[in-house]
Amino acid sequence: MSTAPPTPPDANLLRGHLDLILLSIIQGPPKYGLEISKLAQTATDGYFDLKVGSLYPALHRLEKAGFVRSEFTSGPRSGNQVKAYTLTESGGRELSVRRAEFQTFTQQLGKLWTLTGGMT
Amino acid sequence: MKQTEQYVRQATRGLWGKARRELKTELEGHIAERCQEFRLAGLNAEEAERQTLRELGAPAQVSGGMLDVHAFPALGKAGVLSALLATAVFSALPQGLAQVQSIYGSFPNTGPASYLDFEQLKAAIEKAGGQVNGSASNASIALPGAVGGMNGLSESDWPGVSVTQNGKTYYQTDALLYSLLSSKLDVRISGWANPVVNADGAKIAIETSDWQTINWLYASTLKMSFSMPRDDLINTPYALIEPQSLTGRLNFKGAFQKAAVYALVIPKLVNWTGMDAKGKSVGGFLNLLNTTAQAQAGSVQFHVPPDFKDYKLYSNPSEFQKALEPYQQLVTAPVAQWNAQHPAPVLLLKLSGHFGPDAYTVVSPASVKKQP
Repeated sequence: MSTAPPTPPDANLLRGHLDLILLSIIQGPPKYGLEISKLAQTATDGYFDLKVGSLYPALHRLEKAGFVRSEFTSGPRSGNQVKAYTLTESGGRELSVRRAEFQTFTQQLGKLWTLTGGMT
Repeated sequence: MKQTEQYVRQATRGLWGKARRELKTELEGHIAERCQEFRLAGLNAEEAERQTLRELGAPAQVSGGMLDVHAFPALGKAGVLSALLATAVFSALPQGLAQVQSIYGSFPNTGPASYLDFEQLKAAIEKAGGQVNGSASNASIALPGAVGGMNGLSESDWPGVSVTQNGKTYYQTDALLYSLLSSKLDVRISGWANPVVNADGAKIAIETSDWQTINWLYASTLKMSFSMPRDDLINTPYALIEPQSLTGRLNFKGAFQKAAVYALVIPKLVNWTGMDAKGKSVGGFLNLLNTTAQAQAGSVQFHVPPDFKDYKLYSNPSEFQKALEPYQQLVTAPVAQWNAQHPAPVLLLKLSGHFGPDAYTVVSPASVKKQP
């Protein structure tokens, strides 16, 4: 049985964490844009819906920053060229740092909720 | 596939050269793959394309986002200043505007470029209600009405962003224009001698009557109009103009408006090479030289390369581009130099001075006549 998809995140929240989301997906074997956006969707039951308008600029920004590298390769279905991205070493480090930061942030925020008793 | 072509053209609008070509291939790959998936799921070709494009979202969002990533133009590595020619002729400026002096010079690695006196530029921007933070080598510029925080352009992302000459610091004109345009300001160049850069009402007066600096500003409205429909012109790099190199003159008579600014887009046959982001060599045999001039009533005179005489005016950019296609690479070029049998395809444009889709209109060849 499938559950109803969660309400998509606020656009600003998504934008603020887009790099972390992309670095998380790109780790492992090379993936091209369509694959990345589909993985984001399927792995989160549709919570992350990355539109092309934010996906590609973010991928290019990460590449410029040296966190990912890309290579054109043949697309599995159409045979057209697709651009596949992989994490670089510094991208891997960046992912670890950002992940740790995010975890600390949510842990600490959680403490505030427990403190005020407003949420569980 | 017409809709796909249209989508990709819109999504890559405003990008230039390799960045544009690569994004085009990347998006076409994405679309082709997704279409195939829909085909396998039973949709026909037309439905598959429609469904794919619907899923992609607005193409303008892609191009808008990309412009924030790919600073224009890529100018290669910063080098040592070799010759910097100060423009020494000043004339009266409009009252009440701060004045910014400019220089035009050539650098071994970045090539010829136009620069503005940084302290004067800062004063002019502040007078217009804006703010400049940081030094010339990492300045962030904000004007009233600017959208989005703009980080300072530093030497690493914009080689040659600033230079020092005789104890004064200068800021590259393109970097200023790029800062204004990427803050989504409406930018317009007006006037000729002592032209004014108007960004959403904030005026920056450039104190020069050197045509090279003025030419640089107006040519930028062709090179840097992020949303202009110049798709047919875009795959060819723009030529950098060496100081004092355009010693030829070309005169036209016809329906020219007094004080309006016109441009000739002239193809140059010259081997160029460069490196892409991965250090791979790229190259071609063609680049485009923009030369601009202010008209008198009924006539205009352009600075052109010496002995430039074999050319043919075209009435629209697509035909112009089609005529140039064989010349993109030396191996396919019918000749290595323009001659009477193979005249250079040329566009004559009227410029509005505005950075945007209305930056130029093509002047009909039928309405003008070459004058000796």
